[in-house]
Amino acid sequence: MGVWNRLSDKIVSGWDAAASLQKSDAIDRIFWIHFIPTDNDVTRESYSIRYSLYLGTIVAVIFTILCATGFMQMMRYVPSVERAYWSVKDLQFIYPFGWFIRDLHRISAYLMIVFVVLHLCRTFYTGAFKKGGRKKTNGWINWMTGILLLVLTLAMAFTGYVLPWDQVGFWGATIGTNIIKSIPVIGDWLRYFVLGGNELGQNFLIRIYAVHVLLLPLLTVLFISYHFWRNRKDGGMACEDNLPVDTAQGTESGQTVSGLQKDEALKRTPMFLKRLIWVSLATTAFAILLTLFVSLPLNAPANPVMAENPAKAPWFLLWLQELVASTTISVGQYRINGGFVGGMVIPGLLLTWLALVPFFDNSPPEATGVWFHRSRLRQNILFTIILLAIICLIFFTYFCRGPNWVFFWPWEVWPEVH
Amino acid sequence: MKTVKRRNFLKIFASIGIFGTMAGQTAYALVKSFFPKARYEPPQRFKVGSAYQFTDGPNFLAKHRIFVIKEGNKFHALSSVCTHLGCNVTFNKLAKTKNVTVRGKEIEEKWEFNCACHGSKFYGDGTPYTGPAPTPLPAYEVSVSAVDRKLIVDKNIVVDSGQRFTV
Amino acid sequence: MTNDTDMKKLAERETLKILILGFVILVLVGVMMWKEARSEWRQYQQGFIKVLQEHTDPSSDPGKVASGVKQIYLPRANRVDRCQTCHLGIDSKGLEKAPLPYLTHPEPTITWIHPIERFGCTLCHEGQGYALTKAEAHGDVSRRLWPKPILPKEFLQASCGKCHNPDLMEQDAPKLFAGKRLYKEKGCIDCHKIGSVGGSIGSEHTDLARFSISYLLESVMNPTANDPGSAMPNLGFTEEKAKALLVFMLSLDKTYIPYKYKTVLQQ
Repeated sequence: MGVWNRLSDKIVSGWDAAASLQKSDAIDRIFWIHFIPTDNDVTRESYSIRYSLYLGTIVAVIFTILCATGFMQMMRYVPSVERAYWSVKDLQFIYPFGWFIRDLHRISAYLMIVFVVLHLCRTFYTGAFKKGGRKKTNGWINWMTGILLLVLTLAMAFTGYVLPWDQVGFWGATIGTNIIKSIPVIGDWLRYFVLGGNELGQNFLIRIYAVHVLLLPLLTVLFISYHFWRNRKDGGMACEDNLPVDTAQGTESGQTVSGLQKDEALKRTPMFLKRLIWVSLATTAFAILLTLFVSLPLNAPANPVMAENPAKAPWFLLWLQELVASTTISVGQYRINGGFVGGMVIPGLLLTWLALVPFFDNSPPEATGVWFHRSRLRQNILFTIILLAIICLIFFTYFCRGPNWVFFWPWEVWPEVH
Repeated sequence: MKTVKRRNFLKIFASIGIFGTMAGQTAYALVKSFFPKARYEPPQRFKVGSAYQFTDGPNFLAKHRIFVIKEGNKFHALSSVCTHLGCNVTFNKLAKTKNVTVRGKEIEEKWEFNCACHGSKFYGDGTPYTGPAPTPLPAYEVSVSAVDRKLIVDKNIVVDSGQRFTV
Repeated sequence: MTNDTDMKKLAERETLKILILGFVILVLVGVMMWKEARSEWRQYQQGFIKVLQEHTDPSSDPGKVASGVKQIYLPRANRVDRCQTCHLGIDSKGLEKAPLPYLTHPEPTITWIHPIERFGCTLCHEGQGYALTKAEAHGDVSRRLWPKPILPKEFLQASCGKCHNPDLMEQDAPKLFAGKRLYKEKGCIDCHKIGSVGGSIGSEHTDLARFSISYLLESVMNPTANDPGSAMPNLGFTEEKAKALLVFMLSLDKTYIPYKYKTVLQQ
């Protein structure tokens, strides 16, 4: 049982008390190095705002704000069909600063989606997912982790939308779960599994609550940590790929923030840490500023009989709503529900394409970590077109779909519906 | 040498068997635990009231999300849940009756069903004609209780939309 | 190659940015606290002190009356009414002529029969009892945000019909009584259905209170205004008549009101 011996060695060998103490001490000291590089590791290019725009940092900060405000809300929210809506109203009106906690959470959720997408764009346009010239880099692993984090972000946003149990949340959940139902063969079973019944009710709300406050954030924390760590193990940002290699020493010779050569022994962090701190502060300030001047009131309490007309999804899902409303197709005598085509197949294909992009990228290693490299023109254009299409669909659906999902020009007044 | 190999193989086989089955059992129990045996929601088979309580045309029962449609002494029940993505359809009484051909048959219809969410429209018998709805609104079986002569709708049994229950 | 002084300058600039942004957040959090401290209801409570002293004893000190959120909690009716947070003088003597929102509830008999602490406010007046801003509490917001705005005074008697039989209310709620009579006279029930009674040519009237008043008014006076295919003839309602009818129509409300609130009526 060689395998077992080797495995057990790995697991148990730490149980020598003295060695263990030394190890944990060492781990304590070097823990942060696995997440945040020192000034000696950060090259001027990575440090510059112009290259990375610090979008990843911004997302991490927003996620921290979301965790904090989310925890505050958890202690005031009641996940029951009867009380959910009113407990959010109480948060809004009778808990001191409750309105601020709730609005900051919601604004931050929106900002997180925006910045995750921007971060994705930055990574794509700079070709940061490419393997590049350096040894031992696996940019595509981090790229896929990023895609997973995008999905987690959207999932958190959607589940969070349902929790107040108002009209938008309720009907959003109805449409969302019916998209699940539209999957051929297993759809009905899967919807029943998610709802814990045939209708949206208490079982569903409490499940969504548990998923929103525990499962999804936990996974997000895990994958964000991995995302950070992976980046460190890859040797930092992709832009460092183009640094000239010091032939004498076999190391990259770029000058770092500390003014020393990369990999020189002195370890200090002040410059980079300072920048991280002020980027975090700026992000927080921006979120608070928006919270103070944008109000996002709750909709009317959920009415299971009458949907709003038009019943529109939250803005980040509007493009999907337009897709599900217009992609019902007939194949021979079969009609395929637009919910499946627009709600499952198209987003699924888009995500698959995104995840596989690194493997179809034939551009030379010099294109790694460079904004809009010539050799990647075609895929950049394709990416931009898809992105613009989604944004246009969002705007179109927001402004041009009126009651009964009829087309209106943005300047036309909708007829009153009841 | 050979016996050792065989023992090794047996061990691996046994551990896969034991732990695989264990994982399977756990997964089964885990998934199954998400399905409550009874639900706090209206039953699938329910009484909707006596025949005389209904008026001609579609009667919307919000609790069960169905239309009980009365035409003289004939009854049938249609789901009010849009087959696209589950919004509630509303019935729209037509000012003038309209003759439409549905599935090769010409019928005269006095009302239609509209879905507000994505603009699906259905003929009076539940057949969709515009919008994204892929299938007709299902018709449910209507029967009568032997005890108090009240109508019973069973959502578990989908019947042909042409079927009528005569009182 | 950068030398040490350049690095120092750069480091100082980064420190400065941290300080500036720290200050910005300080100011923003300050604004947040100011917004909380200057909530609308607090301003109304401050105004109350002056009004109270003007209308009653000038030396009177409202003390605890005008401090903090006031709430009537009716667990059986499932209502929470915080209206008295601003409507502070609703049961005070001497404020009969005070300006809104401080004046005493007009017609003391009605609050004598329907004690405020037992019936709250929104059971009769509608509006959003949970809210603490004027616009939200009165429902002066989009109907998407709150479907039941406060009932205007001319339609207020509709609320009597939620518990009382309109036919017996000739003296106590004449508008409601007149509305019901008009509803009968015009034979609305022949086409429209209330509960399980009535015709099925027109739309159901079981839960009319969920519609907006302007929509109902328009539909009564001009049936084809909102529904071009409507089979309803124009019955020639004047606005006055239509409004009378509307008082009854608005009383058709499916909102659950517990039996306890109707017990007296059964005796």
